[in-house]
Amino acid sequence: MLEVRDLSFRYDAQPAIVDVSLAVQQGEFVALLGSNGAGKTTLLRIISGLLRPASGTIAFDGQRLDSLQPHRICDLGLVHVPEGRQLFPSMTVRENLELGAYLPAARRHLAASLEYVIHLFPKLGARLGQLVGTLSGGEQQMVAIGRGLMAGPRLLMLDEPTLGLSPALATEILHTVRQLNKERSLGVLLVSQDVVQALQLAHSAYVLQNGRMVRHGTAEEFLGDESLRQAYLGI
Amino acid sequence: MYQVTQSLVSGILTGGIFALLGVGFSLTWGVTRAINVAHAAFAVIAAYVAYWLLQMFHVDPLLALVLIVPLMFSLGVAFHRTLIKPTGERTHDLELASMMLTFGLAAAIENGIAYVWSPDPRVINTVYTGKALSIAGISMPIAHILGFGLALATIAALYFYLERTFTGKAVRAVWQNRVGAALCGIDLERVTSITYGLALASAGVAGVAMALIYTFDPATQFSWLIYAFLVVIFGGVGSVLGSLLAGLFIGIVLGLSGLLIPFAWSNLLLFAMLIAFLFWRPTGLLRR
Repeated sequence: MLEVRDLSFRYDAQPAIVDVSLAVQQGEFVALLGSNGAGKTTLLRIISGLLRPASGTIAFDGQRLDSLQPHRICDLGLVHVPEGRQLFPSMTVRENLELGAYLPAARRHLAASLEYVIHLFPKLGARLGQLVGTLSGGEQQMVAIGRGLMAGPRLLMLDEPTLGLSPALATEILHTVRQLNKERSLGVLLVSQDVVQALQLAHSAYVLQNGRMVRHGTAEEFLGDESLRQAYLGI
Repeated sequence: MYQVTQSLVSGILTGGIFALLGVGFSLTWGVTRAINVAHAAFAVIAAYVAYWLLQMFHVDPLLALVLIVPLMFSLGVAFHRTLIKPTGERTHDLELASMMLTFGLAAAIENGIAYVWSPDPRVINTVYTGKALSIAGISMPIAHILGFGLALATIAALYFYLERTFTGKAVRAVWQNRVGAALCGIDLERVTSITYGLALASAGVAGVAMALIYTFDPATQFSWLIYAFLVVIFGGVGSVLGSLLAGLFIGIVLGLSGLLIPFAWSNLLLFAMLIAFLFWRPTGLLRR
């Protein structure tokens, strides 16, 4: 479904991503792991069109993405829930969610999508009229994921959706994502510091180190092999 | 007491028009981080278009808006596409770069108008110019009432557009978080163009409203720009309601100060208050 090949990117001549390849199949849950500064966020930003790669290709269902604007990529069903959530703080929960369905194709299903998001995150249902800037971190993260779902994605890229949340809430959110992945066969590319939990939910994982993809394997391989975990993940 | 009420009323009527002059300036500043110093110069262009339509074809300025509003909207879109966007792509500091660019543009527009239509001051003379309504002893010139009504209607339309329509919400979204907006599927370039269209269309209405009550010449753009700046600083960048309150406030201060100090000093008072205000609430009236 998503096919990234030999991707490279530089920040002011400093290589940040070097020859990275990655694939996510239809309905697959993939964890992207690596330490801080490894390039995970940069990689997602390139895929969603916020940054332009120096070289390499990105294809989604066979269509090339690497020269498209972010709004065109979103329209194809590849939706990025970014690091730091990037919500609209002076707008209500409802307005934030509605804007997730901004594109005409998504707007046609707005009512049903909104109902589904509230079904997934019942807490948001009671807060639809509240300004997003006044919500707790956990609730804001629910809005961010909800806003991503409103676009009607086929592949959802989540960047650190549990950062700063309590362990219980983090677990709840990650399990909701897993539920989405199962029920709607939604493809997921998850970046998370919560390595063990990510591996327990994912089908497969990639490890990024200093901008290079150093390891790819199934989640079971990583969970079952301690030397592998220590070498690449430090746990 | 009579004089105070009279000054208050005329202050409110002109203040509404100042608000309209500032609201588009505030919008483009907020949404695109570009400071369009030529905003008032565009308003003066609209004033001249209204003037010539009246002189040559006897078209009432209010009727002329049917032509002026779409014209100014298109000019706004073209202005963004040809000047603001390419500048934004070449700089990391669009606030400064846009200010320099549009300062030059404002000078070019001012001199262009002076060259084509001479620097003579112009007055719009309609059938209702100089006539006034008198309510409870308070005299209200019809031109002021019309200008105020235009301003209020335009600001209300802008407000509802931004609050209630999908594209309007997208404009606010781009203003609050560009990255978030792009990832929602919002075409930043298109929304920014629309924002410039709306801003200059509102400047066009403001130019016509100002021309109904004041004489104007090419250099008038500078004093109108000062009002726009005052509105943004009192009202906060990007806030429609803040702009309205700020405009009314400026109008009232100017109106009432005329009772106490010589008229020539009222601008001095306004700027003294502006400096005090910047110390007290640098982000505007309504911003937290």
